[in-house]
Amino acid sequence: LAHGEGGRLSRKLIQERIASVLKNEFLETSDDAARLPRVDGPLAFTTDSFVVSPLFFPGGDIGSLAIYGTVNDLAVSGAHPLWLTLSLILEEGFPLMLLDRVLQSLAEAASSTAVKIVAGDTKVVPRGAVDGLFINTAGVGKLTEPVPPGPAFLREGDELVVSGPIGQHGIAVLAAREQLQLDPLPHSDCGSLLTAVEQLREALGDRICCLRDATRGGVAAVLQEWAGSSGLTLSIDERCVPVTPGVKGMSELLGLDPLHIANEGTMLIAVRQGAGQEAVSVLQSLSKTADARLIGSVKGRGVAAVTVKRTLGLEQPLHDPLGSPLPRIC
Amino acid sequence: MNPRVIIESTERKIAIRITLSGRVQGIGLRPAVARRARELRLAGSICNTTEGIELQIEGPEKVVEEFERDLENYLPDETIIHQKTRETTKNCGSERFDIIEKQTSGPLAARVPADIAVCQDCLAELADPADHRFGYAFLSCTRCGPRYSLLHSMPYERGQTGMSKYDLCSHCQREYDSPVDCRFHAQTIACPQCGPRVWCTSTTGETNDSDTEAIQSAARALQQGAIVGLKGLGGYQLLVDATSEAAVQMLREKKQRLGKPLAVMVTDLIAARKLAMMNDAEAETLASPAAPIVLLQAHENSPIAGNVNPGLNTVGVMLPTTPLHWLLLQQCDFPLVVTSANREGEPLFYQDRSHSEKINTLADCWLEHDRPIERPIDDSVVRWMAGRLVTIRLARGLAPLSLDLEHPQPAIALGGHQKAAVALNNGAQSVLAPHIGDLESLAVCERYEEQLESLQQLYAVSQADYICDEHPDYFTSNRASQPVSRVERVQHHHAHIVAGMLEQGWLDRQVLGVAFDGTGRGDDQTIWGGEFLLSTAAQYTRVGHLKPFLLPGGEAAVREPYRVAVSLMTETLGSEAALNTGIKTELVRPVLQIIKSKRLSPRTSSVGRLFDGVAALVLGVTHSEYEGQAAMLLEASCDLAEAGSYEMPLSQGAPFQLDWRPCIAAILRDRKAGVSTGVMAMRFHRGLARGTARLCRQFMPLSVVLGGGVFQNRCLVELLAEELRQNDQPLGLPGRIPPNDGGLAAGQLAVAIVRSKQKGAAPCV
Ligand SMILES: [Fe+3]
Ligand SMILES: [Mg+2]
Ligand SMILES: [Zn+2]
Ligand SMILES: [Zn+2]
Repeated sequence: LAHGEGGRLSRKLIQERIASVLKNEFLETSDDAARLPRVDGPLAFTTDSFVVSPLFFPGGDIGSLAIYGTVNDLAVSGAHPLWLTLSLILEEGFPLMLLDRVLQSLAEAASSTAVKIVAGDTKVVPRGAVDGLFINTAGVGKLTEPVPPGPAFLREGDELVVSGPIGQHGIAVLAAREQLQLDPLPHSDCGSLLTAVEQLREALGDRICCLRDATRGGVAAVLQEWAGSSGLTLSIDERCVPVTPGVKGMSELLGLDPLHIANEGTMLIAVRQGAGQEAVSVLQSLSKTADARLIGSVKGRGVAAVTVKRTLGLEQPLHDPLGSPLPRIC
Repeated sequence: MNPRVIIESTERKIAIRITLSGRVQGIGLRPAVARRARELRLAGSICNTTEGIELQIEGPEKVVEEFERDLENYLPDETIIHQKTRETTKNCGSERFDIIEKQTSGPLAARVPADIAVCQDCLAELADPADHRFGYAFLSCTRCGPRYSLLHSMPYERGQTGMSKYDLCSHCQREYDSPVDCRFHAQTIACPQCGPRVWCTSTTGETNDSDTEAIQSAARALQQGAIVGLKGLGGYQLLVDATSEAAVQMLREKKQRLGKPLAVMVTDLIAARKLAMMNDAEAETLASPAAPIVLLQAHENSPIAGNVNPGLNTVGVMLPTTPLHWLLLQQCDFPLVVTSANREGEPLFYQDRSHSEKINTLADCWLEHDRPIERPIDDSVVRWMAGRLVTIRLARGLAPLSLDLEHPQPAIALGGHQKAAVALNNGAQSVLAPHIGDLESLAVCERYEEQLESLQQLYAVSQADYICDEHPDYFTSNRASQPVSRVERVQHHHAHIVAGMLEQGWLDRQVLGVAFDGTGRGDDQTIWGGEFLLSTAAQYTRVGHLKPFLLPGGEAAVREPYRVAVSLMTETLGSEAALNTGIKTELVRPVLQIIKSKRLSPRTSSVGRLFDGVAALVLGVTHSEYEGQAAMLLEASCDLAEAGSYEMPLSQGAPFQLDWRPCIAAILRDRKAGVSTGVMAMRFHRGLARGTARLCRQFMPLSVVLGGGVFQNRCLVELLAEELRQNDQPLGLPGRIPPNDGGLAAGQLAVAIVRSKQKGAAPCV
């Protein structure tokens, strides 16, 4: 393939394709850096790299993921997303048709969240150096008051809310990767949390302590991290956690706990005592988070950092596996 | 000169001090020695200390010598002397011999006494209308009664037990002070005038005013098929009529306990023989002071309801633990199911019941008393196999178990994840502490922490090294990695084997360890459980293992044995065969999908899982209701008369592999040919025993040591013992240390101590 070889020609070609899809005033200039207008007040700045196999899965693809991932990170940090950078690392010989599909999805995600991609870069690397396509995005957002103080400021009695059914992204990707024939096919929750976060913050203000999109490691990983930074115990009730029948069935088959499975458009919110139900109402009024639920609360530190009350009423420490989980039961 | 003085001086007086450590407290040793000293008119004192016993004796030289010479003949049979010191001291001129109390400190070297079930003498008194303690639920003597469960600290004195709140009446005091009385210095002495009382509370709140009435009303409830809650020795228990299917079913529902077998209590050996067959050794164990639950061969037409031990041909039987149990059984003419009063997965309940809503709803009425339970402890479970008494659960009457391990540096072995139990060395002695439970529920984890702390207090261990499993996600390993102490990690199956070596007193040699269990983390990150380890106490090499297979869905496959069956068949004959085995296609198809993925189907060499898969194939057990169920059902179904066996060849190479594929193929053939399940189950057991023995033979003349939960299987153990006897290869069978994960901590402690000694002995460079 001609544009797989020397680089310059192909990169030029690709950058033109990109620019044509992601048109905006900042990308038009061919300077080395984007020149951005003045912003009053503090900023949030984040970056994330996206590697997912397969690149396309039911409910999303690496392109939308790369936008929503960074937009969500900014949103849950208390910032309104403004600008993103985009970096593509392509495997030599990557089909242009697929690239176009990714770019299209990426552009749609960007416009739906009103962020602008203001700078970008593309590298083509030899076969085998990457698995098809890797994407990095970095994002800048404007922090808006009151900024949630974060998990170090959790208090006993705070309430825990999840914005929707959990585990959908992880199961969708897994099913696609392992080519499991399932009916119905599980769909990823890949999507923007921006509106939900902004509405929630408007309604609850400083009664929100922290928010986090429950990506890798799922809701469990967020709970473990918050328990770690607060030194408190986070307790949830499995019976309150929304799980779709498809995810439930699949995780039973795979021997996985939905709490450990990744999401890409579902977040965990900790609010002050008594504000949980209000947070749930606000979220439920939005179509994307209509299944939000109050799932637990913050307690004084006990023998386990995170506990979960299981379906039959037995309360267990939530397992925090190091790496790939090995069975513990005989 | 006055001649009298001359006479006295020839009768020279001497004084000596003797100290004893070991099992010397809580067995009536002091009263026995005091009786002898007084017979000989010697003066002095004897007291319990943290070291054990301190005995001061003085008098005419010849008499003291006589006393010393035959001292051991006067000590109670239960005495075990670990260390003895003797020195001569100054006469202190005392005239009498007294049992005294003394404040002492230092690491505890005396053994903590285990609880002892009510003895025959006490039962005779209980049944004697003329006796002061006729029908009194809390009688005990120097040879029986609560010990460990009632202690808050050592040495063993009434003041350090839950009895300290009861002041002795004049009657009890007289007996306590009288050397000729069987309650001379009995620390738990009590009577209806001064001791604990019993009452019965129904859920509607009525109580009875006399002990006898309370027991009668509980018995009436049992007769009517109700669940009675009983405050037992080491915790609350739930009781129902064991002959009533409906009562047992109700109990199972309340407890949320599905198929797991329940134990049965009967009045005496005569009643026990009506339920189960037993040889003399088994009968003796039933009636032993520990009075454990003994797993026996159930009579085919035993009166026990079928849902007490569904699918099994064994039944757990025990005799009355306390006078209260005995009195209640006298009022019922049927055996009782006795099980701990907690929901499945929760720890044994022992605290004040009025604070616990959760517990209150489990029973229809409660028979309880005001004697506190200081230390919760479950009932022990034992089983005779291959001529040895094997502990399945180390608890009441058997724990704490003294271990033959010495090291000056205190260390605490934290055990595994299920059947958790702690072993510790306080610098003066090492013990394996009682069974706590599976660390799956928060409440058991909390109990574990509580028990660990209270053991550390009892044995005076503050700063200690921790020893744990190599599995990173066990509750115990996470606990060990809290940044407080040094942590030593011991591979799961090596710990099982070293526990077996410790049992045999073989820590000094190299053995071939055979570790068969459910799961444990292997060095190669896969799940082990069918391992042949060339072991010393410090190191091991994996020289053989079961041929690995895939576990579709990881932990889910542990709960659903049919997945393992699919995996074994796929590997043996391909996925087509797996679809034609009688297991429902809707179960099989999804498993066939995920078995292709390495990530979703980890590899294992576990014999426990092989049992699951074979049970699914032979018996159609698709789902497991409790740990080990599939293997227990398979053992129970064995047709012992069958002499055939399935082939499990050894594949050469390092390490050796035991290949189960021909065995699976043969099972599928036999199934088609309509061979009975009993014959297939037996052929599998025998095949596994032969294959195992063949692998062992490669390492002749090394002794073989067995470890791991699979060796609770009597049929397998006896077949293997027979095979190795033919090999003429020495075999170390399990015994007092449980072969399952309940004994893991003992092995961990032994490994750490031996490693630490070797490090200490290494020459300085
Ligand atoms: Fe084990
Ligand atoms: Mg991110
Ligand atoms: Zn007695
Ligand atoms: Zn009295």
